[in-house]
Amino acid sequence: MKIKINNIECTFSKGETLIQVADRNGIHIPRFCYHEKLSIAANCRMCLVEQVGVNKPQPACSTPAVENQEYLTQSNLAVNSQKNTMEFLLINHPLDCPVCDQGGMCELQDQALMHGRVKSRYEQEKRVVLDHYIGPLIKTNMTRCIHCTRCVRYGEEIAGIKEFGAVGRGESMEIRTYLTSAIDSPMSGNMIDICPVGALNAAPSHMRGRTWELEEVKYISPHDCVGSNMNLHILDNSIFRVVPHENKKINETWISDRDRFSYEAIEHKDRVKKPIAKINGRHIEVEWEQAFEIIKNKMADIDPGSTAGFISAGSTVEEQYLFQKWLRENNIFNIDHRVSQSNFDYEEDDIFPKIDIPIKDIENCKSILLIDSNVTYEQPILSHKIRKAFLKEAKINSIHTYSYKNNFNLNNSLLINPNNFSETLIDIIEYLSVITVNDKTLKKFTIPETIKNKFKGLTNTNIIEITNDLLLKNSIIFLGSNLKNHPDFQLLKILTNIISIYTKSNTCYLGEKSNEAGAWLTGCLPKRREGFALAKHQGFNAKESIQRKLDSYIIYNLDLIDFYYYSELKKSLENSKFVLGFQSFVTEEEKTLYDVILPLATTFESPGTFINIEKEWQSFAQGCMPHYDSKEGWKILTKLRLESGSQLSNSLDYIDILNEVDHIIRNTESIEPTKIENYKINEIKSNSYLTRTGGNYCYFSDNITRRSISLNTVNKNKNLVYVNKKTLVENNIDLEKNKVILKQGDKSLLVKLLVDENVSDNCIYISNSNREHFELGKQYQPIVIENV
Amino acid sequence: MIKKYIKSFFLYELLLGMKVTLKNMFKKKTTLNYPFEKAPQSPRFRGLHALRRYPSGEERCIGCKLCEAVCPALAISIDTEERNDGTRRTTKYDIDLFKCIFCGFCEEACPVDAIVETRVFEYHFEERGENILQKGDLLKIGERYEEEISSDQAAKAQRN
Repeated sequence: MKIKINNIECTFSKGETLIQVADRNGIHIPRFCYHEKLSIAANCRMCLVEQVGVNKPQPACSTPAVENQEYLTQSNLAVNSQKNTMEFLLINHPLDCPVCDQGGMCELQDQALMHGRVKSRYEQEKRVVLDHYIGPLIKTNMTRCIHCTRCVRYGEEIAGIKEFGAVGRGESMEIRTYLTSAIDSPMSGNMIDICPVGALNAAPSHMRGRTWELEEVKYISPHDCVGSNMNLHILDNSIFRVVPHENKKINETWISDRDRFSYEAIEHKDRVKKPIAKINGRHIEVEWEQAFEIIKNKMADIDPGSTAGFISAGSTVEEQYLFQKWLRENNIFNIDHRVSQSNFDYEEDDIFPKIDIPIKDIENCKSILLIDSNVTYEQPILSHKIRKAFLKEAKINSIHTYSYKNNFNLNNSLLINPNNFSETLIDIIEYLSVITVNDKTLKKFTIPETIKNKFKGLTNTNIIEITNDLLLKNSIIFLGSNLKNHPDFQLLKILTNIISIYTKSNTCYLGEKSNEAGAWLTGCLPKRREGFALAKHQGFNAKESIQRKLDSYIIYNLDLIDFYYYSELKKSLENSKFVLGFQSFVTEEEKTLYDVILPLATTFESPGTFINIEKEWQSFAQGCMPHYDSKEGWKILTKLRLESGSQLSNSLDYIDILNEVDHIIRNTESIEPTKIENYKINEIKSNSYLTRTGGNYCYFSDNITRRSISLNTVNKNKNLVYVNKKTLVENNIDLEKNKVILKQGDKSLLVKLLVDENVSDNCIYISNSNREHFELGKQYQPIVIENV
Repeated sequence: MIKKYIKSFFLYELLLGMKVTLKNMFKKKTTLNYPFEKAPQSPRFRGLHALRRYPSGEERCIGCKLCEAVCPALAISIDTEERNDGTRRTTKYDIDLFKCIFCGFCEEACPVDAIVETRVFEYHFEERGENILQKGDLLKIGERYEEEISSDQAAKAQRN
């Protein structure tokens, strides 16, 4: 079908609006309220164009293209109506462009220049709107608002927050939160980007610079396993702000707030500024040469068999590759990146974080099962895809220990005690085994005896519904990253695997860090080398290395609270002979545990590569030069390899290392999991004690987000502890007082308590949002609650 | 041929030249006895820079960085911050007078008439580094010449 716009013939398909056809053919039509990803509101009237033969101008964003019609965007009628619209928009818009953060990238500025009058004819008073506080991330200046309602539609359609809206009518219309409160959405920052004027601006960079002085560098999100593409805007060698970079396959045009505002951490007071060495019992700053000298001497002394190296799963592929290479060259084989994992059973059957279908296809799934996944807050981009599936009427079910706030509605929500995860999954398997007997279209399967022993007859209708939904075509199971801390984590993985094979659903193991897949492929594992090959010399995993109290430890880019065995690790470090840290950040207390700390550049300050759960390989360039005296990880590790006598003639440049890793990993064959029938499953225990549950607080999940000031002021309730009423009554807690004592082992903590029915029975929800909660003990372990 | 000899014998060309000298000796002088005498200056004179304040004492500059952007010699560098009262102010405002070409674009770009070029053109530096005028220096210059600056601004604002 064809239409003519400005005498240019354009083809279109049915249902397309005029503005879409024009955009595709490179014909400019001014607009404010229209946005590609949002619904059409047609309330700014800026896109008026002339339809030949029609007296009145038509809004291009909402007018469907009609076969053989002719449209003019530059005719007198169109230009005049655009001019008039612009004049009315500018009546109430303040002339504060010089102090406005949007100045220089403002759609209103640009369009006023192109389509506005030279001079204003308005001489009366202008409107002033009071600003409302909507949180520490977004700075409002509502007098500048032109009521395009993009932010309102974004909230309703994309983010799923219905807190933002238009109040009042006509002259007194205001965009604000209905109840004066901060916006609580992990994707709220995108409102800043879609606001065409300076009404919504990023608070952390407020008034610190202007748009034209920034340099743009493409970058990959360092915080979640999705690998959102984004652009760093650099001002004077520091990151001024972060904006999304469009990638249709992954993040479309959105990024999460965590990706957008975490850069603030770079200049945090915990930053290691110079190499630190313990000399005569005191920690002093030393020069790089001196630090290398100390390391060289110590490395010659230590017993490689009694040394362990831990690396963050959030480090770049190059760093991980060089790290394990350096350690293996020094005969150290106890290498691991799974420091937040509690359980290492069935290690040989392990599967790295992955998703069976491309991220962009999640929206086409018909049924989604979340297993203890706080996906909305932990993986906001995936949550956005799930929301899209939800809007296409997919059935979404969840099995969890706490009813997380989601931006989609759940079909079935099964609130269970954390001790019952394996039982619940076995229930699903039992139901599957029942229906496969009757239904001949389904594949028969033999269930391992240990699982069969746990069958106890189905009673729960929710389980039946959830399983039936899973049997729909195109379903996916998400295994949340919280479960890593679960004592039965590996078993749960296997059970999920069994379910997925027999329901023909896809699975997704959500990693919590940006490069978990990379860490697997580069061989930061005790039993596997780079390229997933089995290692000749097998070492201890993270749990064994910590519990065996080795002589020396090497810790790369990890806070100690990143470790599941946090308190054990602290004891092991105290008793060890040599502790080497490669750290960007270290707290004052943790500093004393190290013998040498080398200042490491954050991923923002070094080039690198992240591999996301899709196994998508994404490289990025150096955002800014390393701050203070820190150095890029690949440089430090190459230097250390040279010092320990490796023959490195070719791989001294970053690009050589990249090529080397690239060559190894691209030739890696994917590992097929063991056949279900061959699983040897141990006896399954069931516990029934008061359990500590909880999740990683999304703005406390790695050493960078933990130190971003704005992000950590978002949620004021994060330090609270939630318990439901029934559990309180069972434990004889005085409901009048809101403070209680929690005890885990020999540690105790006085906390504020909130009664919340979203927590399942017989457990206490403690979010891992501050150091005190980590000090207290581990997640999914017994806990005691007492009156003050 | 004889004419040429007579001319050179009576020093004709020299006398011709002396005639000009004599004429100019009694004419009104065009040079000035600087520094005792000075040429008149236009209100548009572009000399040393100054930052102005409002009569209330509040500094005018809002840190919009338009002068920094327009400066063809990259002589201006500015850092800004939000002040406690919510307005944007500069924390650094440096002009490198060695780089500056006194084109006056900064003055033209300024939306609040904060940066101006005064009539001062007599200044010198004794130490390296003094060529960079900092915010404090510029404000001081502004305070000192405010009367002159404001009358010049008023004159400039009048339409021709």
